[in-house]
Amino acid sequence: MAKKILVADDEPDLVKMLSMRLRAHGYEVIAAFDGLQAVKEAYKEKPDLILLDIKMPAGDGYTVLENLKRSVQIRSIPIIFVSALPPSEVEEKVVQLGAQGFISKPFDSKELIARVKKVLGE
Amino acid sequence: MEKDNIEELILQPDLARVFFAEEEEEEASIVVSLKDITERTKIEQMKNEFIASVSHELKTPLTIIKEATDLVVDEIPGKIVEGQRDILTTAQENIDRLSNIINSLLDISRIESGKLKLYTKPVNMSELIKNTVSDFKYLAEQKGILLDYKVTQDKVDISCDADKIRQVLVNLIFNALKFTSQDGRIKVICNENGNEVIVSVQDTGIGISEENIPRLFDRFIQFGREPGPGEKGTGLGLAISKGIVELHKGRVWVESKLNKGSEFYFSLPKLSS
Repeated sequence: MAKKILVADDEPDLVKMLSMRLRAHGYEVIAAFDGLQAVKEAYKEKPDLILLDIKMPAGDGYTVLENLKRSVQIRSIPIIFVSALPPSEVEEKVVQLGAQGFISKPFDSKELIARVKKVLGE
Repeated sequence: MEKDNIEELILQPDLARVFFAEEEEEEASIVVSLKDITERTKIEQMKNEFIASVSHELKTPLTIIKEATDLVVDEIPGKIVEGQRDILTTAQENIDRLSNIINSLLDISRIESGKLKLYTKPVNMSELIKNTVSDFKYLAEQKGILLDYKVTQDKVDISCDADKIRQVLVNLIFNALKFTSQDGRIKVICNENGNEVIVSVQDTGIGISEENIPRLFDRFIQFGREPGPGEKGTGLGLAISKGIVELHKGRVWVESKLNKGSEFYFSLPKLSS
């Protein structure tokens, strides 16, 4: 069965592009456009991985992560942050918070897919 | 000029003049004048914040454009013909160029506003040089340039932010490659001098005229830029390199002769043991 990836970003165009890429690699994609929706979808769909933007309305990426880590059911879902914030300000913080890593926007799609595969153990 | 709130002003030493005693009963005196740079500093701060926020906002649409172009080139929506691939490859190259400009602007605004943080740890400088040089081997070979390095010892420990010092090396090697023609030679040299390590990138390129040297490390300064195709810089690489090295309490300088070549140096303090 195809692995499920939740893409949470407040830019619908980016979600659309990223979804196309991920589907082409055989993944099922669920989209969320704000923090609240991201949390809801994570509980409902229990994805195998979450690609999470940081600056989002209704709860930024950090809030989403903290919320998910509180639940025993879904705290083990790996999270990769994808953000335009400078790596020097973010990278260390996201790892401390328990995320699997950080990808800087604009990203290299080959690198992004490689990171996704690695985290999914493929 | 009199001001009540002198403590709140940002002052910069401007002129100092020493008056020597000419006759026995006279006293020697020193007059120092200070320049009020409060307003200028505030404007600089505003400018840096403006650059940082605009650059950040530019990244989002750029990410979408990049991924959209990559999707088509990777033929995910469907097959494309060679002519379309050519055009889109040009678009990709320019997207990367724009991305570099935005990152450079962010770097320079962070350096100037003192917001660039260093993550220092012990680093083997010889190793860093070897690895960076080897990353450029292919590009150098393609341009018919001999690129190598000379380190005095295999292990030269310094305390620095490895990513940022690598960025300085990349900037210098990249510049050397840009301004050196076929059959030229580039050498990265590492020497120890007392409490510091001195790294230099030496080339046999076009060189820099003496009058241009003082402005070389300024922002948006580009010399020897040729019209037409080829690598275009941002004019920020050397200013960023200088900023990074100075944050490490090091220095940058250059020696150059027109049509003979250049040697760019930077020094970094060694590990205090």
